[in-house]
This record gives sequence, structure tokens and C-alpha cells, in this order.
Amino acid sequence: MRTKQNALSDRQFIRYSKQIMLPAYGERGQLNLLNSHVVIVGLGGLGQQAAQLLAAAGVGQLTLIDPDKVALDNLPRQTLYRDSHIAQAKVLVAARKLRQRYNEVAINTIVGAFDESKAHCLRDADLVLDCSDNFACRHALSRVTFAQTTALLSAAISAEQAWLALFVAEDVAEAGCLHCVFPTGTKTAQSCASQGVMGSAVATVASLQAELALRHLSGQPNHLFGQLLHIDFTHWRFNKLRRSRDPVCNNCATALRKCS
Amino acid sequence: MKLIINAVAEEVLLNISITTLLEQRDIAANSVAVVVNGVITPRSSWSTTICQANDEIEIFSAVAGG
Ligand SMILES: [Zn+2]
Repeated sequence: MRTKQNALSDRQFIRYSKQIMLPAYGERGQLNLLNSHVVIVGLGGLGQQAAQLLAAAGVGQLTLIDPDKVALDNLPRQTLYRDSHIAQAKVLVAARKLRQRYNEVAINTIVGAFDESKAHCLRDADLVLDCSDNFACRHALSRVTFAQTTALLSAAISAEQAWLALFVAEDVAEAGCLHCVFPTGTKTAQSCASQGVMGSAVATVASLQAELALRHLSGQPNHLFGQLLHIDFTHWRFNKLRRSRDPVCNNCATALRKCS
Repeated sequence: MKLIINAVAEEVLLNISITTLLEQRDIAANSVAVVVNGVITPRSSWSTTICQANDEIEIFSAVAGG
């Protein structure tokens, strides 16, 4: 674990001055970012974009987890990677690029899929960004973060549909976990039309995810408390929906019952 | 009775459950989330949730891409 910083250096003060000027952030908020550790699971379209925004904003430590290698059809939306990176592990390329640009950020890499055997990787995280591409991984993150009471910020996009939700302990107790929205056994549609996606839409969702992450890390209230943001890019509809606890949820209901 | 389903007004039978509504539209229950009047309704309650006249129902695909 890195030693916590308790004051900004002169250079940091200038570097992050535009953020510090915002009343919602200020020096305290910026210090919180510099002292934060974020685990990003999935370094595809969402993860590689969110990682750049978090590193640039001054998040002190990132752990990147993904099993995949860069492929040619990733390049229109995964702008951290280029042709010469094809067939290289995404997390290793991403870490190299981010270290070049932001040398004060500590970056850990894990080449592999997230599952319960990697639960310990989330233990000292202030926030986990779920940028993965399948429900098996998303459900594993939901179980581990619920058990460890670590904040989980999930986002997903396929074709023209996207959603975003921040699951933190108080909010899960009231409005349920990821499993309450998408229970075990949830399947995604596999048609061609549901597999396509535009880079601009992916970047939009990743930016919203990073925006909410930075507010959370800097110590601001949760603007999505008990809610899920659903985006329908076809009709350009952005809706904040209320979540509700599933009384028989196989993730959060049993444990809550055990507590009470 | 009238329901608003994904922003379109539709006539449906009285006392229809969410489960039946999805079946009639050939929508696989495990591939969607259902929102009733702005609240995401847990899948475990769909068979017992009876739609009321003028309810606004949103059915959206379970997407997991990143
Ligand atoms: Zn739950």
C-alpha cells in the first residue's frame, strides 16, 4: 500500500488547479483522488477510456485486470491502442501508455479474467469499475464487492443500449445489488444487431462512469443513489430509474437476512 | 385497458402480469429488465406483479458489453 499524501505539492497544485477550483472538489477532493486506488476490470472500450480519465485527473493508483489481447476491430473505439499493439495483452499496453503520460500514477496489471479467485485484488480498492463484457464476470464482481463492502461502479453498453449504476453499501441495503437488477441466469441477446457499437457512444458511457467515479472518490454525495441510469442511444433517451431490492436475491438478500 | 409500453400506448387484457406481458411479446424473461412507472421491478416478482391501467412499462435488454 502506498503512503498517503496529506498535502499537495506546488506542481500538483498547478497541474490540477482547474479541478481544485471547482467547489465540489477543492484541495481536499484532489488529495482524496491522489490517495485513491481504483481497480478497473475490463480494458476494452469502457475501461481503457475510463482509465485515461482517472489517471489524468490524478487518481493515485490503478489496478488493471483483463484477459484479452488488442484486436483490429477494437481500434475504432479503444483509442489507447494502435495497430502495432495488435495481439499484445491490453492491460500491458494500457499500463505502458498510461505510465508514459502520467508517471506519478502507480499502475498494477493482472492479465487474466476476474473471478472469485482474484477477490483479494479488490481488498484495498476504494472503488471497483466494472467495465467487463459478460455477466459471469459482472456477477462475480457483484458478489465479491458485496461481501467485502467495496464500492462497485458498473457500466455496460451493447449496440444502442447502455446502463450505469453505483453500488455502495448504504445504497445496496436500500435499493439492492447488481443481481437484484440482473439476476443469475441473465442472458444477453446474441444477434448481429446487438453486437455492433459506435466508439462515440462507448466513450460517452465511459466518460459518465469516470465522472461519477471521480465524484465518489473525492468524497461527494452519490448522484445516482438507489438508481440506475439507462441510456437508449436510438432515441437519445437518458433515464434515471429507481432500483428496488429483490427480497429473494441470491447475492444480497441472504446476507442481509443473516445480519438481521 | 391501456398501458404505455416503451413509450407507445397499447391495449392489453385486464389483470395481466408482467410475465404474461413478456410471453405475449415473445420476449425471453432472462434477457430483459422491466421498469414499472420508473422503478426497476425484480424478476422474482414479475409473475405476481399485475399491471394497472395507464402504467408506464419500460422493457430494456440486459446488455453486458464493455
Ligand atoms: Zn441483490
